[in-house]
Amino acid sequence: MSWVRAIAPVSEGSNGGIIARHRDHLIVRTGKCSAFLCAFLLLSLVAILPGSTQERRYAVSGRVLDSLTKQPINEVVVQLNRKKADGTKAAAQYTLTDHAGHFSLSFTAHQTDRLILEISRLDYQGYRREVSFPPGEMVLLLRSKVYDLPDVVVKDFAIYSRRDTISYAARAFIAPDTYTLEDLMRRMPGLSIGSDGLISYMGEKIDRLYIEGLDMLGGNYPIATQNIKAEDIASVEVLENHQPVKVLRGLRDTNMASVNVKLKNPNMIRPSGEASVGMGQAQERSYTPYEAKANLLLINARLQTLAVLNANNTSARIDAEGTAQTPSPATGLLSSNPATPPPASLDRYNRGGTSCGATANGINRIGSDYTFRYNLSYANRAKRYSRFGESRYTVGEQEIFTHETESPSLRAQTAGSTFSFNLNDERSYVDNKLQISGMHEQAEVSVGRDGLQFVQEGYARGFSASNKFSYKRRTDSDDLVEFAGAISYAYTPIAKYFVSGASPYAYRQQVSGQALFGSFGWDYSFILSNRSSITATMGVNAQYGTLDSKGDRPYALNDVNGGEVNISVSPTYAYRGEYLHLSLGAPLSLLWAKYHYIQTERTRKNFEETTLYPGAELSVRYQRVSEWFLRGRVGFSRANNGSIVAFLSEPIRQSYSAQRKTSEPSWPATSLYSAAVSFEYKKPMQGFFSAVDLSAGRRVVDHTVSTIVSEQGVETTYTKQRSKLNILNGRTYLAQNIRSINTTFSVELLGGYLSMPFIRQNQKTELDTYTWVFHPYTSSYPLSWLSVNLDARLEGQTIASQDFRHANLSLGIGASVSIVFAKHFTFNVSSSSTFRREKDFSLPTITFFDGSIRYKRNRFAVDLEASNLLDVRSYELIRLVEMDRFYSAYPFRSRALLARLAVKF
Amino acid sequence: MFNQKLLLLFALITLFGSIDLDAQRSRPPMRFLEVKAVDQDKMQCTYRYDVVEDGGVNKSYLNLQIGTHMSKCCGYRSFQMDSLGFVLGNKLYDPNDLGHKWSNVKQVYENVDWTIYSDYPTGQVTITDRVFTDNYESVEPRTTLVWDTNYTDSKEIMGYPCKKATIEAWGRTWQAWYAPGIPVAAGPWELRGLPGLILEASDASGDHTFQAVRIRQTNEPIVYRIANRFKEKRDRVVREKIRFKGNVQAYTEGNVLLQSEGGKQPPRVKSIPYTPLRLPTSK
Repeated sequence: MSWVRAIAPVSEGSNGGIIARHRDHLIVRTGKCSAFLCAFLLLSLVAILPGSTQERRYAVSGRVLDSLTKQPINEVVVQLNRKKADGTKAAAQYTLTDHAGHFSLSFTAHQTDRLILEISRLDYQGYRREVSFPPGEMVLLLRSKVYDLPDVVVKDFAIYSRRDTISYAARAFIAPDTYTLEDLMRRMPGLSIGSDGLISYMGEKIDRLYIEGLDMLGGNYPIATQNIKAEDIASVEVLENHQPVKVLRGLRDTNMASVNVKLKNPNMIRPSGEASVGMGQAQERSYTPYEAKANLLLINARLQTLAVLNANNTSARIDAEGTAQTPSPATGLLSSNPATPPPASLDRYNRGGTSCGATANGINRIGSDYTFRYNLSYANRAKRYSRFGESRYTVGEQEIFTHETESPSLRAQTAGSTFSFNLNDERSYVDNKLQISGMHEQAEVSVGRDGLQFVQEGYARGFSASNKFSYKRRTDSDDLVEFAGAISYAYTPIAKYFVSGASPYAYRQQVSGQALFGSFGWDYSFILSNRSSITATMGVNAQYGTLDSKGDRPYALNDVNGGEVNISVSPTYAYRGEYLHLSLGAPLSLLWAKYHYIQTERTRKNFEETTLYPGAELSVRYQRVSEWFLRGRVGFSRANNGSIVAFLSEPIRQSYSAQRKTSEPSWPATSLYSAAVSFEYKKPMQGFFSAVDLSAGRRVVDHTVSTIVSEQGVETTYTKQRSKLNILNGRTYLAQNIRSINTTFSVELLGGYLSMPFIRQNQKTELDTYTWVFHPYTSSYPLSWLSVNLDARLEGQTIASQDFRHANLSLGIGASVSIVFAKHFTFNVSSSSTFRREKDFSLPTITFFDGSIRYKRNRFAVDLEASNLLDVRSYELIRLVEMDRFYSAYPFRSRALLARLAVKF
Repeated sequence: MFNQKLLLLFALITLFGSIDLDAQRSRPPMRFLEVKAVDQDKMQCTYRYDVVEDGGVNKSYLNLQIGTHMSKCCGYRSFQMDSLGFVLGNKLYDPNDLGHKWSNVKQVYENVDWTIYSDYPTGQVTITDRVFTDNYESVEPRTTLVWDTNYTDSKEIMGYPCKKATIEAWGRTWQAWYAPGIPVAAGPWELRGLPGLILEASDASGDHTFQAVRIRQTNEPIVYRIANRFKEKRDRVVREKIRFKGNVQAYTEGNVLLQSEGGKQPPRVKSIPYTPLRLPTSK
């Protein structure tokens, strides 16, 4: 036992025992001490008291051995961490073991300190223990471990990869015109930002954005990327094949990438913010552009809060819009957009829109795996545009001339809130999300038609609340249990719409309704071996809703109420080999729906339907190396409306019979066959990022109704529809390191075939649709002071049948150049042009030209923006069909100038 | 730098000239290298090594192999040669075959002649080096380096949180960033002894910088190259190297290896820029 050395406190003054003896003596003798003794004791006390708080020197030593072979281990890191009684940490001390496994550390400490000894070596399991005073003799046995060190490769010290994570060092991408996180990410090769603010990695949209591992905003993350300052960012990480649910990692593949933003100071407690105000002048006197924006941001690794206020009349997207959950029924009711609207974004329209909004978002990490998140938003939008039209056409011998002006406008208020609680660790996953949202919309269309003026109005209000709960658990035997439930209630739409005044077009209508939806799902995955599993899935959805429609106009359905129940099971076998992943599922679901409704003639009807959906799906994925994979999927499903149940269940069959007034069975059935193959190659490093993605698919849908019987009598009709869809998608992506050239293109071939053989008339209708899109996009930062973006989109469509053939072609080209000069100035100029050709239409080619200049300092920035420099004022459509002529014109906003001051705080 | 390249070019031309002459005769089989495995590594770390010489920065790559009992740090090209030597198993090959095999290796330029075997033999450090045409080997005790780790500075390197440490050693003040998450007390060149792998290091003058560019888990042999070497103290070798680089002409004059067929001398190079890592102790 020679290697175990006794540990003795190295005394630097009085030791603990002596102090204790002195104290005892003091207590016993105080009552009868003489003046001399008192003086002596007082002196002793003065001498001793500091000693009681004095740190003393200790030494700890021992030996580290392999637990199995009992052989000494050298080069083991032995580290001593000391936490003082007041909670402060003292500097850690360390040493390394020698060839005999010996270590020795001397240190200064107080007896009330907490000493933690940490032992570590790459190929051994770490060891951590608390050391008591006085430190005792130590023999530490370490167990060897299979260590797993990820490959990390640095590329020019700006980008490095580590397993499925690629990290970009922010400092390498900050250019003079870099202001926000979004600006920063634009310069990172492999990443690109769309016009909607959404991030793509190697041409594909990312799944989610984390800030220090926290997902505060869900899909509405552009609020963060447009407001977080680039100077606070340390690095941006792309997490490839990221499975956000830890329980599912290693069990379910995902090809999606997510982005994690790391801060320079993850413990930042100082909030930051920015306020900006802008005002301008347009050539058109009635329009004075303005905008105001303020944000307050506090982000760190535990707590993140972001609040944004926004108001403008420039139709710029306001941040709260993204969180609005409700649809826009009012606009749908009054939509009168023609088939060929101008190819321009809404902010180009005359009086394009006024918006104001506010959003507050926050997420709090509770413990290591729990998070609580809230998102609140309110938005008020007003949009207005106008259209002028003339039509001249002949009906028989008579020539008809109409003249119309339309000025649709929309006012909408939306408010939404989401509260979610999440637990996400390696064994359990719990997520509960409560969403409440409401909306109010008012739409109005002023129409002048042949001298008659009338206003069409619509109102819509809605409210919805939902709660979704999800629970997943990985058992000790690695089986997976999943449970999901949701309940939602929607009181929408309650809509009123009418044409006011005493015009021949006048009418009133009101629709109101509510729906209650509940779902329950249960999955259990049995792990058969370390490579295969069987999942049993069962789900039940139930829905109950009412719809009440009143008004002047006849509607097919009034006073509808009823519900649906959907039960589904889906046993699935999955095999996860080293290279091959295979999944074979056989989903089967049964839908039962029952509604009562009142028809136009006020007769009460019942509708009852049972549909069985059997199906099968085989999915195979082969991946030998990380760069590429091949995936194939074959699926089949068939919907048999009532057919099987009609035979099995007499009452339901009777119900069918009552509805149809005939005993003949009606067996509508829909079959769907689909097959798809895709190949993806992705190489994120080695000098450049490159990706090739090719996929091809075919889908065939057969819909057959064997018998339809009319109300008046038996009328046998046989209908058969078949539609075929062939899809071919391709994408390439190339980005050079740091200074990048990104090119993406996609080609889509969409062919449709519709066949409707009407037995009675012996006619067959065919319809072929052919659509293709070619979209190259290039963004280049050849120099730190120069960026060039080019975007072209060529799109064509042909629709053909026996009777007609219609084709259109459109080309859009966008270009922008940004130049930094004199250190603080950025000059930007951009143009967008659209050419469109369509049969019978005469369509103008339009070009918009914008420019801006920015002066930026550390604390403030001044922008001067000029829009529509070519002063394009309208878009005019002319359609000529033989002798008929149709003309429409849309006014645009005039040339305008906007000055903006932004201040950071 | 330019002169150094000229010298190398001349040496290569001379070498190929002699090979061409040899080709006319039957050439006996030869051994690529004589090597032996001294340990098995568990991880490798590649560093970019920047050294300021003659006003410019020379870039090289170093490879650090960390084994169970020892570690080895050398230039990447040297690592490639050793690896090929191990694969060829000390056997005799046709010289043409050897040339072909070596040309198949994707080679990198480097400016590093030394190799450091830390804890080999046990408790000692072996440093091999080359001064002009002479090979040297120095074996010295493996001393404990006393680093100052009392810094709160931290930064992230290659995804690993790193801490700062400084030391005054071998005539220079070094600043290193080590990763406690990789509990390996190794680093580039002779820097070692911190409670984590050193991922970045530079000296106070900014002459020498090491930056990790790749970390990977491996299971490859650590190879020791067997050669006839002069056994000298490291300090002496450094002095010799400084003397050579400072007065190349004196070394090259009369050296038969640098004479062409006609007995002409190569262009006279007075000195080659050299910034030693280890400064020699003053005498």
